[in-house]
This record gives sequence, structure tokens and C-alpha cells, in this order.
Amino acid sequence: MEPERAIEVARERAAAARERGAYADDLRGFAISRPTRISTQRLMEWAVIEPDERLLRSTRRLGAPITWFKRLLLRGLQQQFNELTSQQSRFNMHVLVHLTELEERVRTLEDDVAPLLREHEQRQRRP
Amino acid sequence: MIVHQVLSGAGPVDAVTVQALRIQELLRGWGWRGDIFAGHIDPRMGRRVRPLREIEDAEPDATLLLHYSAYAPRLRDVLEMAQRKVLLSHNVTPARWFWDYEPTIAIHCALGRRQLPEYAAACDVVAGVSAYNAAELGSDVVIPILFDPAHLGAPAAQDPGGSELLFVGRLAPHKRQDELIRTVALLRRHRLPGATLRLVGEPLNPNYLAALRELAEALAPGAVTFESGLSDAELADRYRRAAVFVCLSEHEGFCIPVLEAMHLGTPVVTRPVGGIPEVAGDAALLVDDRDLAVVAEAVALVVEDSELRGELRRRGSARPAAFAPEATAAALRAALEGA
Repeated sequence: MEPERAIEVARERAAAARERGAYADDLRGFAISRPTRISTQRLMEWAVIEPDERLLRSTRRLGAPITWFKRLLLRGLQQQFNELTSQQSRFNMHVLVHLTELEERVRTLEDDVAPLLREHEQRQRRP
Repeated sequence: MIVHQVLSGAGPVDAVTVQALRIQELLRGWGWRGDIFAGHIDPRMGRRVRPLREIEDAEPDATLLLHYSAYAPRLRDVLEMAQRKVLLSHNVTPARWFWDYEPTIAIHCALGRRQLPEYAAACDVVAGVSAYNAAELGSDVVIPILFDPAHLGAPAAQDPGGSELLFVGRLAPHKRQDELIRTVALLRRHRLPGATLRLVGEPLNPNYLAALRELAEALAPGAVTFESGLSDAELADRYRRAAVFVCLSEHEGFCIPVLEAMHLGTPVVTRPVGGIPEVAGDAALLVDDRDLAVVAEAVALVVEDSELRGELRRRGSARPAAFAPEATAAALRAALEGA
């Protein structure tokens, strides 16, 4: 068979098979749990960043002098480091404000719409 | 001529990095020169890629070839450089496929797709690796992938027979491995009781892999194999032993596995989405039916009809020539010289 004919033949065969009752399978069942969402409460805790300076270390064997040097560098750059963390914290806080405002607005809208939805459902149930 | 290539990130198994290295080799063959710069560099790349900040020293008469495949805020500064610029779009998957499964990737996709037209507007020439990708940016300039199948070895000496379906690609929502599982379930129940499916690719995340495994066990117990991290030789072996390569993706900018399957002599059945029709040409069965019964019948035809299978193998073996280095080289050269 030429490839140009194949799809048409496949359609005809599928239709014929369906007429015989084939291909009526229930193939549902693909359910994926959503990735764990971080709660807003937790995001608030994370928003103001405070990097632990004790984690600044060398992982090499005999890396103590390197660790000492890195911490020395950090002390020298403390002003820049503080600027970075405060900029990031400011951004995080403002995003969180937007997020909580949006959540509040959605909650208010859902509360407002709830009676209307109930009324609509009752109307649909009436004969 | 000097052509520097710019990537957002570079790694040894990253497809765009591999393309950039092949292009660099091609340019050197013409007597041109140029380096590759990237924002993030995997240490395994060694000195083959230079840090992006060093591009500030690029020669004024150099041309910058920007590869775009993901959200790349670090490349913004490159757009403001005075040198001539060529943007090559490798496509960014629409975010809607990821919101429910991996929202952080969805955010990157959404930003990437929003940023792409802005980058295109700042470049002298805009191109895509397929006409589909180029058209998304209002361009008709196509610089196809430099396809080099040498690492996969020679095609299968003979038709392997059997009824194993194969798909190669990341386990992700838009690749629709769930539809492939349903298709093999239909085949086993109605047409080919021995049909099996092999899915090769890294999962989007462990949750997604677990859900696919669960679906496979529910619909086609023991018939679906998941693999990832294969070597080139192992991957080539999977292509050679498959009866048919089936792709039910909803979005593909190019789809290299279709070409790999054709090169190794595996007949291809695929949905004609995105750049796939131009990659596959007349060498694949293009099934745009949403009805999986039609897909199953098309796959069964390929498995059972040796004449059809032979014709698809014959056409498929000729298809990679359309993406031979000479063809891509001509398109690349025209785009770079026209910039």
C-alpha cells in the first residue's frame, strides 16, 4: 500500500471496527497530583531573606583557609551584600502583597457569587 | 568574517549547544572565525564556551548569532550592542502545557515566548530552525538544524519486524506520552495483542513519571517500558529494533527524533504539528485525527503491511539528506551575509 492511501484506509478500518462495537474502551485514568504548592504563610516566612553566613565554607579537603578567605571577602563586601539582600527582600515582600490582595479579591468574589450560583442551581432543578 | 554565537546556557548534552558547536565547526571550514558565549556554562564545556560578559570586547565588524530556546534575560544587553545581529529561534513551548504539572517551567515558557518577539525586533535578521518557528516571528528565513546522524551509526541491516512502538523525547505534557499509552492499549485489545511501547526520555518530574507508569499499568500492564540516560549506541539500538516510531506530540518546533528514526530505518507515524510536516516530508504517515482508533489502525497498517513499511523505510532513508550540512550551510551563510 502507498503511504498516501494509508490514513484513509486506517479511518475506514477504525469506522468499520466501531460499527462492530470495537474501540469503545474507557481509557481515562491519567490523574496527576499537582506539585506541592508552598503556602502563603510559608512564603511570608521566606520573603525576608537572611542567608546563613555560616554556610559560606569550602567543601574541599583541607579547605579551612579557603573558608576563612571567603568569609573575609564577605566581610569586605558586607555593604554590597546587605544591599543585595535588602533589594531581594523588598521585591519578595511586594510580590507577596500583590498575591495576598489577589487572593482576598478572589475570596470576596467567590463569596458574592455563591448565593447567585445556589439560586441558579435551584432554578435548574425546578420542573 | 567573524561570527560570534550567543546562548543563554551551554552544556554538553544541550541540543542548542551541540548546534552551536557544529555551526562553529562549519564556519571554521569556510575560513571564518568566532567564539561561543553563554550566560550559564556547565563546567564540562571547558574552554569551548566563553562567559557572556566577555562579548563586550567583540569586534565592531563581527556578526552576532543569537540562539533563542528559553527565557534569557541575560541576553538583553547583547541586543543593545552595535554589531549586526541574527536571531535563530529554536522555539519555546507554550506555557499552557506546564501550568498544572510544573508551574516554574510554565513561568519560564511564558516569559520566553513573551520576550522572543522583543528580541526579534532588535535583530537585523530573524530566522527559525523550521519554517514554523520562523513564521511565529513573521519571518520566512529558515536555517534548519545541522543534522549529523554519524553518532548513531548505520541504519538497521534488515527490517526487525515485531510490534514494538517507540517514542523518544522528554516525558512532558505536550509530548503526550499518555496518548501513546492509550494507543498501545487499544492496539493490544483490538489489533495487535503483542504490541509494546518503549518511551525513551527524561521525565519532567517524578510525579509525572509516576502518573504515566500508573496509567500504563492500568491500561496495558507490562507492555510499556520507560528508559532514560541512554548512550548513543543504546539509543540507536532502540530505534533499530522498533517496528514503528510513533509521535503524538501537540507541539514540536522541529523534532530531531523523527529524523533519527528515519535515518536508522524505522517507519514513522506522527501528528503533523508545528515543524513536523516539513521535517517528515512525504516519508511518514501524518495522522491529524484525534480519534486514537485511527492512530491505532494506522500503526497496525505499518506493522502488518510489509510493502507500506518498506516504502516508508525507503523514503525515510532519503529524508535526512534534506537536512544535510550542505543545505543548512547555504541557508546559514545567506542569513549571516545578509545581516
